[in-house]
Amino acid sequence: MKSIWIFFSLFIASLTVSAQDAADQLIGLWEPSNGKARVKIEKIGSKYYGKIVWLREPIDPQTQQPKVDKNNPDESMRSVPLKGYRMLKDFVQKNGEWTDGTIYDPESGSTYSCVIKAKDENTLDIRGYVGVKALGRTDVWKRVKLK
Amino acid sequence: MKALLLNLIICCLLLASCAQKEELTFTTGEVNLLASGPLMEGSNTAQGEFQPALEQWLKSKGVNLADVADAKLLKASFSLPDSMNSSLISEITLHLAAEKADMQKVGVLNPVPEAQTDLTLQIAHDQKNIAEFLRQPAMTFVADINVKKDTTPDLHLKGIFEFQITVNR
Repeated sequence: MKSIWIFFSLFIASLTVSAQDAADQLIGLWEPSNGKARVKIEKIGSKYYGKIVWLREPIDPQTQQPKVDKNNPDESMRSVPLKGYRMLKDFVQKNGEWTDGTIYDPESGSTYSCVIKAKDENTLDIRGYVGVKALGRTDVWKRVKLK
Repeated sequence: MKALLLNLIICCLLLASCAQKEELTFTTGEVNLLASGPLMEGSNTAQGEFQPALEQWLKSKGVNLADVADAKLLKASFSLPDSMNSSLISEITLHLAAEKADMQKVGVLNPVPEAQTDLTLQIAHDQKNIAEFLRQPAMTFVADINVKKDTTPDLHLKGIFEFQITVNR
């Protein structure tokens, strides 16, 4: 009887660990389909956040200075550098996807609702939308493997 | 009966309009933020948890949590350890994060002035629902720090944050 309980406890523990592993597969370095940036996704508390850590063109051709968030609706935050910019915020894992988060488009200064699905361990579908999921656009991000 | 009800509503509105608003200053004291090394050139994350215990603090001022009408961050400053100065850092962006509140960017310092050990950030004009963070049992100060070159040790920052809390008296 005791061994059945031990087996059962171990089984439950392994399920919990594998669910956590699946949730954390979002963590890492990712590249959007346009290849203009690389985004590092990390976990803070129980939520997931992504920030730009690399830009293909880090210098603004107009100012010859590192790019900043010049389209931010809040003028006081337009000096925030794009390198290090948190463009993915507040994602929680639910039913096999990461949801309740937002994605910021630095090119327009707009923020969209967003849902992330893992197609496989190295591919993400990132869907930004306004209001309902049907009215949105999906981009495919690939995991960047560090050498 | 109708007139009585109308009078009651008018009285309630008058009472509500008579409620005094008061601004209180809530300072966190030192919050330790840590970015675990090795730090890579570019963006690194330093974070530090803080337990606001706002309800207790408000009680000491004779105010209830329900009386909080608004809050905003007024000031954010960091001090660096004696062993280093700001020459290693190019920019800092500060966010607030919490379990039941959406992350919010509240400050930036770009560029970071050279050879300083005390840094004061520029605070965001647009701040929304900051009181929500202070109502949580715990919140996290997240500093995105761009460093100029790879460096091995951990980076410890001490942050002090000042909030303005508007309450109804």
